[in-house]
Amino acid sequence: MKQFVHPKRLYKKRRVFPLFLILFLIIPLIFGCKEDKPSVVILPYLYKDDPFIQSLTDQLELKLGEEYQLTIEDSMNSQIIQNEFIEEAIHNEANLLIINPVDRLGVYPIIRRLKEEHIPVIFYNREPLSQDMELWEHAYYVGALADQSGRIQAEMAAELFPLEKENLGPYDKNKDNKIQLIIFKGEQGHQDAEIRTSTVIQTLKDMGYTLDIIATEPGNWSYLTAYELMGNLLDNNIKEIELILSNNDAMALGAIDQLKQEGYFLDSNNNGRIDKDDDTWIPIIGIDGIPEAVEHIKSGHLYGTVINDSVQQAEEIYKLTQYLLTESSEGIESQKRAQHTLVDYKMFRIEDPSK
Amino acid sequence: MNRFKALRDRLSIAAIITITIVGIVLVVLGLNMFIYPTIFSKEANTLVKSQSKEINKQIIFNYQRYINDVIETSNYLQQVSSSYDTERDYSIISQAYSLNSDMKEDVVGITLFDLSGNRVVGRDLGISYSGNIQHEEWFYQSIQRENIFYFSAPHTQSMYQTHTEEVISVSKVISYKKRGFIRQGVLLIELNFEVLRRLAELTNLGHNGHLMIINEEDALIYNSAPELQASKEIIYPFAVSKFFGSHPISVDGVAMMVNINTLDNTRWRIVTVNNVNSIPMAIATIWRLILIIGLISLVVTIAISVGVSSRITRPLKELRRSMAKIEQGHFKTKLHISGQKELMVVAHAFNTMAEEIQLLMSRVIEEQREKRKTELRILQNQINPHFLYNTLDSIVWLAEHSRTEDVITMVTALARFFRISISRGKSIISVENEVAHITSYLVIQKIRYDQRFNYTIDISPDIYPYSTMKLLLQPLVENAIEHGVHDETEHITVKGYGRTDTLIFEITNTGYGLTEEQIQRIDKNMRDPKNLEGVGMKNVYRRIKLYYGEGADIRIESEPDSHTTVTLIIPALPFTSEKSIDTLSEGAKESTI
Repeated sequence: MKQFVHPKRLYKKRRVFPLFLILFLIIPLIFGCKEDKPSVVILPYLYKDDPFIQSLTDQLELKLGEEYQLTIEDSMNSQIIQNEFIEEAIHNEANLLIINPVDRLGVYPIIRRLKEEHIPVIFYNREPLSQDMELWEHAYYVGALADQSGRIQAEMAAELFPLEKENLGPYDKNKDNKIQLIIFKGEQGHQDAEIRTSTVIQTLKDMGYTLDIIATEPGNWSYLTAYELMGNLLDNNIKEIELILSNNDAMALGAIDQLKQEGYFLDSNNNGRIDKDDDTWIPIIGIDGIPEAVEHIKSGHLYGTVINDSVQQAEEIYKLTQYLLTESSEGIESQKRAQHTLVDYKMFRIEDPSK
Repeated sequence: MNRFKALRDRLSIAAIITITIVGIVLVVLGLNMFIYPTIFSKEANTLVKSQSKEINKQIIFNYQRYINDVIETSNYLQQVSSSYDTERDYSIISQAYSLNSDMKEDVVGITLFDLSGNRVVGRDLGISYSGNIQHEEWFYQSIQRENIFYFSAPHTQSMYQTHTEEVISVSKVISYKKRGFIRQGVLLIELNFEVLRRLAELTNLGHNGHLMIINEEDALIYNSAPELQASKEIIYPFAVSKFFGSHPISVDGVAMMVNINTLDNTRWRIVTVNNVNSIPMAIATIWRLILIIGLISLVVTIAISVGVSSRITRPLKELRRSMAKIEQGHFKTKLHISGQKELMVVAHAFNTMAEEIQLLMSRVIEEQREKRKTELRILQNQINPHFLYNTLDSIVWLAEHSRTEDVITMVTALARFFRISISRGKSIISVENEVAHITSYLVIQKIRYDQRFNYTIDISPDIYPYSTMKLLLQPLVENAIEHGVHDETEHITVKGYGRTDTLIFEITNTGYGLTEEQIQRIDKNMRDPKNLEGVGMKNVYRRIKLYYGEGADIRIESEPDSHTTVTLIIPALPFTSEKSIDTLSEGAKESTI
């Protein structure tokens, strides 16, 4: 049946149509930017030049990317820049912040501000002061125990220098019952560097070793600085080196490359890797477990490393994020959870590289 | 909608043009005036915010560099203290300490204390110092913080000097070697605060711009402008409430930008307060400027649009005036319009139309005149045969009765009568001739009617030189004789005189007279052009109306059983021999159209 339509109605309909069209075009523009997914802002202290942070950030992106709307910003090792990103995140009403603080002393205003804004925050890699963490129960920390890495490093070193014998085994080259060692310290005064250094020394001492620390070199966590510092040390005709302990892998690799240039790490038997019983081999132990370090362990240059488990840390951060944003639908205030999640360091070495 | 349309239709072209142009300009100006300052102020605010941030960054970088320098010194001394033995290699370590403090002018003194507060190495304390080191704030604060530097607030209680220069104490627990053993101690570096103060002064923060340092307990430990009341009362609490970041604030109507950032390796927050009032002022200036420009352009636009629209509509107004003239009958009106092409076309068309109308009009007038001429001739010619036969019959009768005298008189009168009647074809004759004509007629009629009536002709000689139509009085006199003369002897009077531009002729006959009803019937009959009845008076009436128009009339009055008077009124026009029926008076012309 044909329905009668008043001409005026037709006219009106025609007029209304473009209005709808405009509304359809405009509404997504206004509200479209907001997705249903909760937004999470990740702020590594430095992204490009820190392999550990890079791999940890990649892990986080992998784990969180699907369920959350992620924003990752490189703080470029500046607390000021990081603070600007935090302000931006607050302005954009982020649901959660995952921050690797640049300056762990400067965390307290961040926590106080986020407490006021009711935005939970997960810190990682650098642990804020405990009195700052106490400012708000929804400031969390996921990381590793710094002193654990030192202890593991000491345990690995102890394996090479058996105590029960008259001397300390084949690697006590001058047979003086002391370990002549060089320490590459991350940064003078740096929390982790100080703890790692003091723990490894203390643990070795507690085990009963006598240490002859040739030098403690602040290598700024950097491959290049360590490379140069190693060069200086070799130039100064120092005593025979029996052990090198590094606060991270990057510096260990820098030292290895310098030593290689100076005639160390020779593949005398041409088996495609450096053997521990070769005279030109020096035991070097790093921390972090970056892929290059693993490669060097396989090739025999690096004796071992202590894995700062980025996969495990990313997993813990993911779980915490789930808990904060997804699981507790009644809001974060309803449940309580430990503020600190600490992931174990893992020893990584290959007993027999030929296998 | 309809109301709007009605309003729109009522408006003049000029108004529509003006309103449209002004409307468009208003919209454009309005958008401009809204968008430009909005964008400008937004951009300017962003710029100022980022600039203010940059200034803050700069200051913090300067401070950071300075603090890093201090930390490096401390790290170096720590390394020296742990690498060498403070007892056995005392001189080496002592040299390193004094070198570092002497080389840097801002370092007041560097001393390492053991945990009991005894000096291990470094500068000696001032002679006047008598306190307990363990009770010094820098001492116990640093012991509470493992691996962290303690930075004191600026104070005047120097460990080394007596004068009241402001210093800050930087302290940290470090390890040192003594007799081969690693021990813990507190390293104190006392710094002259003047250097930090100068670092802040390097950057221009604007009028009343200043710097504050807030510590972790939100205490204001330094203010570069302590004299500013607003700083302490407004900005400091504001900065505390904001924790960190960039925040605009208005202090006594002056726009300020407060930037708060932490200083690396310390628990300090540096608050810089920038004067950014130049921006709101610039925005206000721009607003004012744009408002002025907007107003000027609006006025100019209105002036121009009024000018343009009046230029367009002026010829239209002229056209309207000319049309009004034509409405009033001035067909010769010509339009002389200079202006836009379209209007020239309209004007030309209008002129052509007016000419056409004029042509048509004159043709109509010509046709009318021709028609009347013909009509008049017909009417005049109606009289003649009728009267001629009767007169000739009378002459025959007189001759039969041998009344020779009468025959002579009659024939003479008839001859004169006809001569005037014909008048060489002219319609207009002088009153004098008309008098002669009517006299001849009465002479003839008196004989014909066998002296049954008398007559008096009393025409004022004053009006003789005026003109009249021929054969006007004759039909009226004929009527008077026909209706008035019966068995008794009657009297017929023909009177003529002039009165204010009119000639009045009265033809009176004695007799029964007419009733009022009869008069009205006759009058009505006479004035009705459709009624073709009646020859005499109606004929006269139509002729005078055709010729003279409104100025001429015939009136009938009667006194029963006494007399009847027919009054003929025609305009007084002087007679000229050339005058003929062809030249019609203006009045006649107007009345016929």
